[in-house]
Amino acid sequence: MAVRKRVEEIGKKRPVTVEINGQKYAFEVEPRLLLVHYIREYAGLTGTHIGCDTTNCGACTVLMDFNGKWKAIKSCTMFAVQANGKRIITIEGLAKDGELHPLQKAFWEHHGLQCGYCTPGMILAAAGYLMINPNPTEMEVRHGISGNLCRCTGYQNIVKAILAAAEEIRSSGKPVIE
Amino acid sequence: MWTALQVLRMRPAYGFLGRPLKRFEDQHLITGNSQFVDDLKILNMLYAAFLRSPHPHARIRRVDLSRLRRMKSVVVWMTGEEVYRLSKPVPIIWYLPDMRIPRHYALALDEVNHVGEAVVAVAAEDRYEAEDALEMVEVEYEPLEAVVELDKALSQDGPLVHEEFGDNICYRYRLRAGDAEKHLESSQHVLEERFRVQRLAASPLETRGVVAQYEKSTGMLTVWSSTQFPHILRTWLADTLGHDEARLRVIAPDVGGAFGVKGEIFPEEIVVPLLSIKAGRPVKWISTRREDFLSSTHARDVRAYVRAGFTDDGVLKALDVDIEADFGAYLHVFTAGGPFITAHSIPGPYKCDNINIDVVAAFTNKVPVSAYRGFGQPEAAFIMERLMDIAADELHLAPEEIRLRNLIQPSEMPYKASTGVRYDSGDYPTVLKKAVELAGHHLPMPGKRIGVGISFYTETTGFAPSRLFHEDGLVMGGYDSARVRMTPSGNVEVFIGASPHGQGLATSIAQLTADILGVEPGDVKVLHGDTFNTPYGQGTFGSRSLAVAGTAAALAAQQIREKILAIAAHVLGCDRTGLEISGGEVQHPSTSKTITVKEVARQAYLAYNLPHGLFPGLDATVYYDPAGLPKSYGAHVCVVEVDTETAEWRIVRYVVVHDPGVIVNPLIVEGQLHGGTLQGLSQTFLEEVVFDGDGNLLTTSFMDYLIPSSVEAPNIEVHHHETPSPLNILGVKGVGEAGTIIAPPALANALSDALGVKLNSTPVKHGELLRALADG
Repeated sequence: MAVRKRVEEIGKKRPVTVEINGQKYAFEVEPRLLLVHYIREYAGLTGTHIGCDTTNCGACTVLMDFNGKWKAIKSCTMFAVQANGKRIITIEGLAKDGELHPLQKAFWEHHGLQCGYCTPGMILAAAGYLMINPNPTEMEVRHGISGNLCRCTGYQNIVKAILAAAEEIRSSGKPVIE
Repeated sequence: MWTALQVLRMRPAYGFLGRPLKRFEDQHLITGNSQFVDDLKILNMLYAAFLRSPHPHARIRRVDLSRLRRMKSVVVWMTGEEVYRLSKPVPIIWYLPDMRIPRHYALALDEVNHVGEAVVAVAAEDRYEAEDALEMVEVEYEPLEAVVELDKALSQDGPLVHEEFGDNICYRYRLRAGDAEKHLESSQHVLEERFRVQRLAASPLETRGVVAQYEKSTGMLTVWSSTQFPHILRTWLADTLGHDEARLRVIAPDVGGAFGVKGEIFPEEIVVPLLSIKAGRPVKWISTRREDFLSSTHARDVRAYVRAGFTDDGVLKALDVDIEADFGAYLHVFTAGGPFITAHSIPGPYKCDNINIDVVAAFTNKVPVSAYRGFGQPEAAFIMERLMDIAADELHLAPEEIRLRNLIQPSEMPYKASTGVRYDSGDYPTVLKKAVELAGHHLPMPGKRIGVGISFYTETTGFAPSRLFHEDGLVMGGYDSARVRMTPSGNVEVFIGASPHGQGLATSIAQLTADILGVEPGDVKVLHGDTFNTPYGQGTFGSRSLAVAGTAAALAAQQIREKILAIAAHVLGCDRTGLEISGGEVQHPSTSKTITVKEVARQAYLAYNLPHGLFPGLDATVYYDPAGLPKSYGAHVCVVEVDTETAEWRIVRYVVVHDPGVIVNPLIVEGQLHGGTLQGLSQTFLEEVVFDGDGNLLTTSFMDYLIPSSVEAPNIEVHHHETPSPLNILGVKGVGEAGTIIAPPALANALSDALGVKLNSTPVKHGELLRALADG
């Protein structure tokens, strides 16, 4: 009986409203639901991936609004209830009006992806980093994305792509995320 | 029929082969529209979870599932007994003579043999509930003594992993050439060295995953799996499950990296379909990272004792190699092949007429090992390349000099080694010299030491042909296939039996098909992964896809080309000879008559005006079985700077000069080398699967099993050298495994050089470097 009661307790759902890529989502979810599962299973946005479950690999990286500032966070170690009322950008929300984001273009141009599994998280981590440091050196880029693992590319072309995108963003005069 | 050389000459005319085109694979991946297994959602789908053994070795006394019945979200469950009734053992494809095969079902029957072995499966309405359900299952184990260390496994009186065998030996294998003992005795210098390559985990960023959907009314079973070989999986699943193969469809959707570990048939790929059949509902299972370490096959875990005889001039006369391999608890699809490949990859690019190799492979109570990028070859390369440096030191020769004295010479190509291994083409000495020259000279800064590590490799690529597979004990074909179909609107579909998962093969094949058919690569759509629309193929592994499936595509495209020319000649009313295709047009040079390829395609399908005897349509399928295995080769030079106080080190220069045959897309080739090289380097300084003395796996997350980040990754300079392979019409070889084969000894040689020590065992621990500094 004790077990059953505990299960019921855990099962008590709470309303969670999150704005993802400019669209509002509202679901009743268990408090234990991870944000990444909210994004993937409830909002149906499967571009955000899960690679390790322990915040090491960054495949689940999304941008979250903290008091008007976008920051890259790992959505596999945040509960959906903690994101209640937040704004989020996922890989699906990066291209605007059919135009690829400079980071997306640069990853494509410079062969910054092979299997593509880490790519959405990597691109968003790069976006998060370029907002902190819009004019990074190669080594700074390497440190800036060191929380995101890629098993295919050896990072060389990823770094190249991010440097190229940073350059393009700077010369366009636009913010990293509009 | 074209020759490789003609293809090379054709390059300027056609212009797509050899160009660094952006990949066609990328657009959906960079926009979040990928379709990995976990992205698949089917109405009424259940989620499976597996209860795994916490013991390395135990008898299962009792399994109590009674509490599952009270969980309303749990729909079906399964134990080893039911799996035993419903399926055959987990398939094995590689057999060696007198190999012992332990009983291995998809769920443990009455004994578990490694931590992580699946014991019970449940399927529930959602993933969280499935994992809750596992807590309701009670399994009573009787722990048995575990065999953890290889020494213990090989000892006469230790405990047994599988009692029925009487000892822990899986197989012994001998390879003999010439008279090694005699030449070791007469050699002027005999080196004796021990080497060890640790246990690794391939760790693709996407873990394994399976979705199975069984439709009772039609008997149709569809399985989506993150696999490298959908056709092989289908054939063996049909056999294992006793299911009609024509009513079994396997789909490899987007696959998030594999590196060999997904070229296996895993218990979950058997159990998830069984759960779906039982529930009458679709079932999904996605491995957690922890489960991936516990249940996906590991790799390497080999040690070797080597005696090598050299002359005063540094010529290698004889090798005697004892290889001991730790297989873990069971045999998987390719497990047996690992040390066999190691044996046949010695002496690699060097000549040696007298060779003794003795392999012993043993069972332990650990996660089984199997193929991982390079499969068997990295171990051989590590032995040979460390050995060359040690011999160079002893004989006071430069590392490149001793290699040059032993390399197979271009005049000897094609070369047949004393062990029977064949080398198709190349100029090994030139590539080595070029790499050494490009790496240049480096002077140490104050407080630093410089170390230079040279390494040279051959990579067996284009894994085939069928006859050789049969001789070596593989129960599968070596061929691959392609179907090229030009649609009535002049677009091209290429369906291939291979199943790439990040390599960019779709782009490479689009490039070469476009050249042959005179269309744009963007007009060519390459499809793979679905057994219902692709011709039968072996899959993507062993750096084989371009050389085998790519050649099949080229051959099929040539058939279409011939038919286009025949129809064009007929429609234009001119002679077939002299007709050329380029830029989407067929031209007759002397009459300047032209017709677009699109118009020819339309005519082929309208079919009212075809040459006599020609069938309608433009559709050709080719099954291609190569004549042999092309060998890629190359040299890596790694320059490290080591701090003389802290032993901290960094790679200051990393040069690769390599020959992968004809290059179809240099961007893709370089990407393969960057990634493979970093994976190889991290074997030398970072990654290691660790079990404690009791057989518990200690590395079960990326916090414990370290894969390199961008900070550890060096910039790798890649220089190409192209010698067409005579073995296929494109002249191509493979390139996927070069990095993991040869980067480990390049770094080990560099660090050994900097510190004046012999680093013969990977991973090299920082403490060893500090000790080396302290010792002088």
